[in-house]
Amino acid sequence: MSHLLEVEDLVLHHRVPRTVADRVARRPARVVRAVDGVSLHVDRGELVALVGESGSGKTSTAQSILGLVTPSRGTVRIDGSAIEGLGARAMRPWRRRMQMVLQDPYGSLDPRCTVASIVEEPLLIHRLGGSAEQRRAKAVDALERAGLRPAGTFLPRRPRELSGGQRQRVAIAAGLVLDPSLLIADEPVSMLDVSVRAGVLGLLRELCDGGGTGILLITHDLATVAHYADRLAVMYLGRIVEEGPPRTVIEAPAHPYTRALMSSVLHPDPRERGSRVVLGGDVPDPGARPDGCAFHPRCPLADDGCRTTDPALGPVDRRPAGHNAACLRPLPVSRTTAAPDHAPGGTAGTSPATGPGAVPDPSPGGTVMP
Amino acid sequence: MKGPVLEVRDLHVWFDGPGGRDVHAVRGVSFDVRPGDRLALVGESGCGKTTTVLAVLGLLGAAASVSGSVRVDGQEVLPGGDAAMAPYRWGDLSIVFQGALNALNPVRTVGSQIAEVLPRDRRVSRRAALRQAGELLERVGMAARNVARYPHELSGGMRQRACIAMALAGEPRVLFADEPTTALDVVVQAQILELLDRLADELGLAVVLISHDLGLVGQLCDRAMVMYAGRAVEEGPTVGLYTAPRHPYTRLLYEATPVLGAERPLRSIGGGPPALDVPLAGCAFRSRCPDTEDRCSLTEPALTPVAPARRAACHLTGRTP
Repeated sequence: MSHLLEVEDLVLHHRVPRTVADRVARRPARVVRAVDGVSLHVDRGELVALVGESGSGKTSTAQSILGLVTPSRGTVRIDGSAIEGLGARAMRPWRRRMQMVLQDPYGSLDPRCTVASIVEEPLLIHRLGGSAEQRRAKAVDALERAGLRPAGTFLPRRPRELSGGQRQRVAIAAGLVLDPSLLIADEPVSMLDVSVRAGVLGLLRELCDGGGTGILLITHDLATVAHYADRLAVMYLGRIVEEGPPRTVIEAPAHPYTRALMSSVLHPDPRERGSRVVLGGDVPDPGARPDGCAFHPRCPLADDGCRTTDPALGPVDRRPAGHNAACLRPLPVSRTTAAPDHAPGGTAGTSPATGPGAVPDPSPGGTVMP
Repeated sequence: MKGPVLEVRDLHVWFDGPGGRDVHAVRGVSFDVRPGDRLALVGESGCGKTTTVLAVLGLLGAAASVSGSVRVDGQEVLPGGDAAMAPYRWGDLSIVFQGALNALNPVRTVGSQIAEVLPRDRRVSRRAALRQAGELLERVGMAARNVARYPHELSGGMRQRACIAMALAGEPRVLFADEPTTALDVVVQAQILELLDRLADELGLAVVLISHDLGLVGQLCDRAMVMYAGRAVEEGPTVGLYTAPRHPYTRLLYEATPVLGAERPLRSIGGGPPALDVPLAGCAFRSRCPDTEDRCSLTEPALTPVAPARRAACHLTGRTP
């Protein structure tokens, strides 16, 4: 059976126009490789999290899938049929089936509109929903599915009268009103208070569990989504560098970048200090992708091979099927302990450095990597 | 033991509201900051943590009325208003404002913005000021040549570092950091944490972190004050708050905080904080509290000692371990 969403070898390159200085120096035009060969799929009832730092290309991937930008190459299939031509015009008939939830519910909702008109607008755009009464009924249904109950009390309200969590639910309802089979959520909780994040993520999870919807969730916050996702895909500099079920990826990350992302997650227990491996620097300029493995300049384990050979995404030793990584020197499994609740999975550190004011750690979590 | 640099007692802040319904945003907050302290003010948006700090620094302006006591080195500064605070601001007490991505002026170089806040007596020639700005950038882990760059040429993490460099210009003893990692990537968040941690050690700086991120609080701070609806509901060492929260709100906040590899799902706290433009009867948290009883709707619990160095404001604290 075909996947709900199947992306194959998606590439989005931007040519940076040459400046006068570039022409004088006869420098070739620079190409920014925002997305550089991404393949992924999402099934109905599945929540896939695409994780990475700013500049890793995760939002560009989503925009390419939705046709908001025209990718340079690649295929996007919905239920097995390829979207021909890729690009804004070709996308129009497909848009109903793919909806997006944006990061900022404070900026993405028109402050002058009522909740009713925000949620009904997609129906008008797509000339659906029949009469005003039928549209209203669909809006009420979407709001209730988004957890705003009773929906009637929300219809006449405006965004400023709602809390951040409620606003994001309105944005989700506006996405749901067209009954899309695919929802792409770009950082749907990062602007929200921690106290309401679980509610919004739980809602997305329920939508998947209903069976009809698949969700691609884009985030930089691995810890928050790990619990809700069926699969994780970690992106770095335009490519997926590791993918698999959250459990195995977090218990036994194969790519050093995944491990570094995990150890950037800050543990609320002060006794867990000193186990961080902090990556230096920022994601490199995608216009100047390093040779070999793109991560090698920041990788603590890189050797000469990594500087010359660009690893492909594939199965890794001693990981279950479906857990793939693109690394020449994948991390071993056995020495990365995933400790239960008390210690974070990613405590594998370079050394048990004594953090300032650190209390000697009584928990068994912090196994040390070589 | 050295005395506190900053003593805040019974701080109240009211904002003018429409129709004379003033909003009582901060309702009697007290805390001390001693040299080298690492204190966190924790809570959801709207709980009054930022307002508390802005009131302490005298930055709220005319729309707010502030009462209580704020002492710097034992010297009362609150009744004098903004003017009384001015000699200490950017000097002894300094702040990294929320929203690093927008806190810098986009049309001026980073160096000129840092040079602007250098103390007047140290501000010499433009060239010397820029050199000092470069040294400050180096202290926060940036190359000195960045003085000539504009904010848009810097990544989010670098802009936050530049804001921290600016806050260090007056050689403060207390650095307030308002949500210094919000809107930054996790990797950059960890870098900023390392930086604040190192600066606090190297410069003997006291840090007052304002955050809703209990991961950051746990990793940086030794002591925390959990705020709800303008009041402290629990305070104490961060280890104790994590291992045995005594106020249900503290417990629920920790349950809403992700822990990588944990088996438990995240929880959200239902409902929302109460409106502060009407007088509150009873405990402000009771509408969202999982375990209430009659007296919770009658009297507001006071902050009382529950363990060494721990205080909580809950009627049921004695019974819920």
